[in-house]
Amino acid sequence: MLPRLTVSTQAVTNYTAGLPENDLSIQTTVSNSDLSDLAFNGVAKVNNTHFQSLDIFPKDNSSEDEYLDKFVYPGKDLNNNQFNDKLKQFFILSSSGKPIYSLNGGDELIIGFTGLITTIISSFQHQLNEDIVVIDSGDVKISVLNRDPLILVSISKINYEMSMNQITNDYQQLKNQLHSLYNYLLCILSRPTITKSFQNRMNYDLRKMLTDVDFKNLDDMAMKLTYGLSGDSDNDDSFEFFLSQLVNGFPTSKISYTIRSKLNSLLLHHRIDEILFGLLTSNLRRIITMIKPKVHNISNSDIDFLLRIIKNNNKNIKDIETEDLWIPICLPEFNSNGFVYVYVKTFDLAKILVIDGKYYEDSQLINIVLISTNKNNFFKVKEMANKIIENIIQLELKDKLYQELSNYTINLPPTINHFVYRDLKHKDLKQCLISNNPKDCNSIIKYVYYYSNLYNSKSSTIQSLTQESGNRKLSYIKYDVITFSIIDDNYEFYAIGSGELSDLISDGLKVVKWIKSNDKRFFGNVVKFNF
Amino acid sequence: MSLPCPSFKVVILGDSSVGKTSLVHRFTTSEFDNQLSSTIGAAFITKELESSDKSKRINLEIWDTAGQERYKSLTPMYYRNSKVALVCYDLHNPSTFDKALYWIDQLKLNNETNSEIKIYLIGTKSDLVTSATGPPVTPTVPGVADFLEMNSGIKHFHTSAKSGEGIHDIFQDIINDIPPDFFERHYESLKDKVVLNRQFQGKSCC
Ligand SMILES: Nc1nc2c(ncn2[C@@H]2O[C@H](COP(=O)(O)OP(=O)(O)OP(=O)(O)O)[C@@H](O)[C@H]2O)c(=O)[nH]1
Ligand SMILES: [Mg+2]
Repeated sequence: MLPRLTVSTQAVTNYTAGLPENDLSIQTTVSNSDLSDLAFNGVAKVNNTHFQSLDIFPKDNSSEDEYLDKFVYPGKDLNNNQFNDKLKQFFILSSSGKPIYSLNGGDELIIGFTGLITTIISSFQHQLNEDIVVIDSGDVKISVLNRDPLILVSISKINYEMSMNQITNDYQQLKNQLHSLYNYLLCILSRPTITKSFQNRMNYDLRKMLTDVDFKNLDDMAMKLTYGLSGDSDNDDSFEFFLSQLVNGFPTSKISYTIRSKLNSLLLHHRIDEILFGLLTSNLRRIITMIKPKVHNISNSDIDFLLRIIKNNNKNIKDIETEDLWIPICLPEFNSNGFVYVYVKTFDLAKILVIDGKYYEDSQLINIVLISTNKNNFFKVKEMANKIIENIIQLELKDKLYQELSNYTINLPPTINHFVYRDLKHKDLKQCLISNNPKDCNSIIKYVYYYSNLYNSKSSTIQSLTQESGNRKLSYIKYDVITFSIIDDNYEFYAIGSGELSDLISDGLKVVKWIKSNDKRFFGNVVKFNF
Repeated sequence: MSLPCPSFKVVILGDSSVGKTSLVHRFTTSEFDNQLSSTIGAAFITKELESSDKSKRINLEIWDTAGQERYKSLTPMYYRNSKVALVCYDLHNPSTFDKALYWIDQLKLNNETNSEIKIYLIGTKSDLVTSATGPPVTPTVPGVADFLEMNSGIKHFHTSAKSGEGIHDIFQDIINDIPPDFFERHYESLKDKVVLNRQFQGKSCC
């Protein structure tokens, strides 16, 4: 059991004010039922409901934009009230209480808060030695991750973050968020750099080692992990990031098996000794293929960070195809004590395709990402990448590859609005398939709410949905829409839809069946070699 | 058939935010971005350059390094094979000159053991210290004049990535300064290769 905290500090009381009265968590969770019981009448149109009319956040009569500015989007230059309005706070400080990062607020405000935080931490010293605690203070959840010499804290007033995951009996999401922010710092600095900085000078200001980009990246990550919204209003892949973190699967792409294996063998063929991992990605977002040593693994979160850091960097560069990047990075889950050197080359597939003497109009960026153990061998790695590009240019199927990458649309049955399918069969890389993503704030926030609740709800007693398989678990929650999950040993399927539950389930199973019959196009795109 | 022109490596050094990336982007794209964020690691950029009298052509290979302290230990790898180093400081922020001096010292140490790197000292963001209407002011960052007097071999340029001032001049100066025998050696070696190839092909024919 987690201790209940009663800190009568003004800051928390202020901060708690204005929350919805009732703790609205999951509305219905049916654990064990026969399909015939699940009749649901009343078809809802999912897009009609606005997130402000759901009990996700406190009620407020402002327009959507005003609402988001007031409660959601981070601000650095805030007064006390504006600061307290924000529904989510993140802080990173040193063990001695020196502020390093805060999602909201200026230095003065944060220093006021760090006093509170250090008080909390000292009263929880015992638990903190373990790992991470979530402190329940009424309608506010305070999470603390102790990673000496750093402390990471989040404070949440968000409805869908209030309830525990009913399977693990834990505040998984809140904890993952802090782990992610910590891992970001490890990525760019590595553990020894952080430790050394504070050795003999507890008062060291870690901000000296960070740049504007790092703060932007932390903001961006905090926003995406909490709301599925990006830190800079470019919501192109922000929801996808949220969802892939939630279900812990990296988004895959749909590519025919022949092309995939062709590309895989290209990577393998040209690999030089010091290349540990090699990836081809589409727009630094979906993995096309990957090579890895038999004895080493790269985790989802390491790939995620790596690609995200590169992607945010590339936003800067107008003419990305003329640049080769060489970036030292630490892959914290692979080895938090050292750096690898990442070579990145981006090229536009559209520019190498000529049809009737014309180029394709829409660019389709492909990235070669090569992870090397040797910091001095940039030019050898560059040569390897050039050979791969040359080979892709000669590839007969490059036209088809372009089509497949640019037509990434997944047709859904009319009852299903959105789904995510997480593959459990292929063990080398945890991957997921996500249907086309919402881009507007309203839908994103609603989907984040629905999926969080669904993911945290107890996926119910094993029951047979069809005759063929006896081992599927079903869970669903009814709103004006229905969210449901179907889970068996090979996959997890989560979806949002509207209509009769029984129709939804049978449509969901059709989608699953279709994905399974295309298994080779979606998954298993990792090739192993002897290192 | 025209032979490929020789490659020529240039490294850009200097404190974070002095405008290294902006300088390179101005040179390669003729554009300026007000909201550029810090470079991570380093970027390797290639661009062909012709001297204004069209007598020389090189393939510039530019290392745009990150000025952030945490990347310091990597930087030697970037200047190791470079022919020219552009060491930048911000005319508008005098404290960045210290970092420039640091890199110049490092380069001099390197020059004692390795091949010579020609050093250029670049004062950036001249638009911020020059009044828009009046005559151009000579920016005075303390120490620069003395330093140049003591280091007569080091050329000094003022640039602005925003207005474009000085940027073309630096690269023209670089290419004009390349001695003719650099090109002669390059094309000789290419010819040798062509001859070798022919011989080789001849043999395999018979
Ligand atoms: N007014 C003005 N601003 C400039 C100029 N050059 C760069 N800046 C601005 O200064 C900031 C930093 O420029 P960068 O080119 O990113 O600096 P950098 O040296 O590459 O920095 P690091 O990558 O961190 O080492 C950017 O916001 C630029 O817009 C200039 O000539 N004039
Ligand atoms: Mg830069």
